[in-house]
Amino acid sequence: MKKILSILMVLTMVFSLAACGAKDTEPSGGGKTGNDKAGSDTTGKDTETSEPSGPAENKGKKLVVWTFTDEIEKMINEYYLRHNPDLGYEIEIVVIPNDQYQQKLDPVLGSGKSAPDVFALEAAFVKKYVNSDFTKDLKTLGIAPKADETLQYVLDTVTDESGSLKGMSWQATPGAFFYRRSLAKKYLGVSEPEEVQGLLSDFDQFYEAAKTVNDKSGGETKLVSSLGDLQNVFLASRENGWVVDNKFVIDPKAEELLEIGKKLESEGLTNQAEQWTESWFASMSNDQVMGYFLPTWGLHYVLKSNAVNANTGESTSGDWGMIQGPSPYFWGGTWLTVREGTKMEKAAVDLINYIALNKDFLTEYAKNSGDFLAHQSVVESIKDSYSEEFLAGQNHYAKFAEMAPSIDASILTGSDLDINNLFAEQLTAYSKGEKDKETALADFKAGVQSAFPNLDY
Amino acid sequence: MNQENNVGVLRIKKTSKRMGKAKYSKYGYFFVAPFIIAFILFQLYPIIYTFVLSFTDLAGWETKLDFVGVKNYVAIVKNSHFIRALQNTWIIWVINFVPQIAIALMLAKWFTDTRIKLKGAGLFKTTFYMPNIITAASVAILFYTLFSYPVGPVNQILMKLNVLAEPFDFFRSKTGTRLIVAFIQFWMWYGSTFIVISAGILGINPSLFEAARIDGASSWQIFKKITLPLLRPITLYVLITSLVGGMQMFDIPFLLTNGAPDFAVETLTMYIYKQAFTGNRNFYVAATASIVLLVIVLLISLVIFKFMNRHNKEGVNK
Amino acid sequence: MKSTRLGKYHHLTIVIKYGVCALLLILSILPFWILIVNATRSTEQIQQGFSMVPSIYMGYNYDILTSKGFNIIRGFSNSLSISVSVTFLCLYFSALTAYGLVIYDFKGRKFIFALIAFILMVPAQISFIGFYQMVLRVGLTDNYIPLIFPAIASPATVFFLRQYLLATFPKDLVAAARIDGANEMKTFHRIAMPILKPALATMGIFTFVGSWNNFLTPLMLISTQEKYTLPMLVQLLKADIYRTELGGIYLGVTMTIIPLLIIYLILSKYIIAGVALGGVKE
Repeated sequence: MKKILSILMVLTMVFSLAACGAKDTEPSGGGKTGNDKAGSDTTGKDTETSEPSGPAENKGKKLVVWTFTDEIEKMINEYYLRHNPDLGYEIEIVVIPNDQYQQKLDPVLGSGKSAPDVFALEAAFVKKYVNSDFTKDLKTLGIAPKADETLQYVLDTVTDESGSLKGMSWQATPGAFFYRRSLAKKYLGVSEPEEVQGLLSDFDQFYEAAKTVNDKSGGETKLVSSLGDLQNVFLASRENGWVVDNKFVIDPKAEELLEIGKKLESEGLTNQAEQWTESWFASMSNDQVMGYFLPTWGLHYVLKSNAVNANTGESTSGDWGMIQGPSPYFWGGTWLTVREGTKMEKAAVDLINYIALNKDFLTEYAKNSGDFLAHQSVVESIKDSYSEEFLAGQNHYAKFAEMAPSIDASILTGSDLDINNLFAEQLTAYSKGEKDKETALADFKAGVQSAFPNLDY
Repeated sequence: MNQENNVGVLRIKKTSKRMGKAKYSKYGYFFVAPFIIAFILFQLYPIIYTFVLSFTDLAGWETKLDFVGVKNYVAIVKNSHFIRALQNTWIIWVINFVPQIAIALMLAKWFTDTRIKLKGAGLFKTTFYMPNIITAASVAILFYTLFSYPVGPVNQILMKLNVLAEPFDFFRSKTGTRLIVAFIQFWMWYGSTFIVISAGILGINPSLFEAARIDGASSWQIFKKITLPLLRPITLYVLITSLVGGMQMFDIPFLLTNGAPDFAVETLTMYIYKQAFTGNRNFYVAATASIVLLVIVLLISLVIFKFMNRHNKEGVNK
Repeated sequence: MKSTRLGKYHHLTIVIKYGVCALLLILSILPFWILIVNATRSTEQIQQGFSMVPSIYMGYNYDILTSKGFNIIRGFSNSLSISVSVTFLCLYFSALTAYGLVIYDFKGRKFIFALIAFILMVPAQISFIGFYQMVLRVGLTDNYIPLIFPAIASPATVFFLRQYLLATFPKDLVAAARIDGANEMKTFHRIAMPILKPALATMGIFTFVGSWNNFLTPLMLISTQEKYTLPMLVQLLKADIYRTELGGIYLGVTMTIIPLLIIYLILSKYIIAGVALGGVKE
């Protein structure tokens, strides 16, 4: 495959008298960032007429990137553009909130007008686009991660049914349980990660611990903030995704979640503060909640940025510990894809290669942001250097590196975002005693059926 | 009130014909042409297109129309989410409209009562109407933060006043959330209704009140026997516009909780929006729901108009 | 004797009436006051408790807001350019249509008027699926054209202006102008438009506010954040992910409200008169 590709590439190179394909042969060039764009831009323009499968080149003047968080915006503005000052084209970054992302993306993909060249996709809907005709096979563009590079599950997630690689990512997102050491000491009697893990190694234990924390603190402190905190953990440990062979499936794990949710909620063992609400954030800096289920990115973007209590000025930094918790899981993840029909193939390839495979960038980015990488050899080389002050010196990176290879993301489906939301509503309603379990499940099913009438039930 | 105007039109038409202005009449087409073109393009065509879509299975990225007959209409009346959205829309509209019209009538009566002159009508009108001009998106966010749980201002006030022992999660209570949505609608519109009704009362011939007062009628009697019956057209006008507006309710519930808790404030327009823009993006379901909504509104308006005409005639006969 | 009892009763009812009005007054103002006060308080203060007294964190909140890319100036000019265009198109073409319907006796005019009266009762949302699909197919998503040009056909405004013309416009003026040799367009511009002015002002305000506050249509059609209108920016405030900055949210909402409030307070006389006149609801 690769051979044919390079032959094709050489042929076109000769044709267009340009050296534009060079970058593709050594994806993560290690050091030389953006080596050759000055030449390619001016030349290859008018010769090549028909697409695709030839080497990437730019026929437009602007690379449009769509994303739903500011991470990619930062990567481009603070790293990519700094390392590539003379791109010869402009990069326009469009940030659209997650809850409107698909609804904005779908129509422009359909019409092809004002559509992005590169767009970010999140775990909860990446499959929908990977299995569509709107994303380009990156291998035809010369992006080919080697065995010691991107983690397999990260690649599997963006590989479509026919085996084409439709996206790339810089991150892997294993999940952990972060807890407050002082509160664990106070109410559970232990504070070191190994000991705490011993008390929280499955959900029966977790439930018992939640009771203990609640009782001993007189209700002042809860083990978790809300049921939503548990949702990702349970859903990630399902055997079947929501949709299997176009049939809607409720995995036993989802029902298990309903049960434990009800137990925790009816006994007042959560802090009643839903995820992403201000009180959910607030208890990261006060003593109301002992722990949070968060993945790699949660440590840096969520916990750290909310650790300072502005009332008292005190910070909970240094008082946190990190363990696997009751069950391994993964949560989220962002992939970059190239739109089929883009006029900026080369620019797109260059950007994706940089973000997902450029070792220099990844090393620097990981050091600055703390984000966990999907690139195995980079992870290998940096993981032992971490001692996270926020976690009282724990090496979270090495811990994540342990967890990452065992992630199985095959349960992801393209409809997860909507179905997860529908499930969360019923989970809350059932747990708070608003309806019984049968009704909750029936309502859930009815909700999914209403949104996805094309599935089998 | 339309009837009278129509009579007026007829009369004018006859006179102008008599004056022999027929050669100018062709200019009429020229003057209404832009309206007609824009109307056909942006309103009529989309409605017809929506109607057509309701007989297809257009969804997602698909662009080809496949016709499926009346299947969608059969399916939608059995769709529990659609039925619930219909109910929600009505419930919220009713609990907003009843106090709205009642308070508007009461205020209008007070401010138009010539015997007890209330001062500051201008100030009150200005303030009561104020919420109406504010972007619904801002209002929704404002109320969302006001009623937030557990530390929103409303919870804090109620606890300070010892009304509540512990914070109440308004947006987890179906009744609570519906009441909040209805309250916002009320809050935004009662000033407008009040002003419209005041204008209606001021338009009534003052000699009628005068005569009644000389006959010794109390102000309540006057209100009940003279004001209310004569206000009927304007009240029904308010009713219809509020109803048509209420059936379109979207911004407030959408931005407040996006339908939660348990779809208690998911309105018809939200249902249509969600069908078209989330999940599988079922344009055909959204289109079907739109047409059903259209039929419902038209039927109700028809009934109200019939009702209005009958009462108008009765009024004339008396 | 009778009159003194009545007098006492009067006093009591007057107190009650003023009491109720004062209560409603507070109800109308209080949310705005809380909003403005909270815009000056820090997120922590807001979480801690409720206060009626402004604090000193407005600048801080503003920094947070702008650091998140809440480009209020951009949103403002977007909303303004759309609303001004909509208002202009709506007023001009509605006046044209109303004039045509009143002055000229052409075939089909009754039908057109009946159609306009009928459309008034059709919720605008009915057509939005068809409208969206149409816009999609002609490739005009993420463009202001479908937000602006439909304003040419505004049945409610035509209806209102027609009634106004019927009531106030002396038709002899047209005949006189024709005798003077004015052509039809000139007559419309020179004679009808000035007479229509008060009605145009009223409808102009409603059209402007309606367009300014329109949320659903831009939400469906606009995708580039640079083109977002003010209401869309406001709802972005709620959608922020990694940290909820209440102070910033309140300030953002306040900034979108204040200009409208000021315009409203300046023009309130006309607006109220307009409501009384037309009772037209958007």
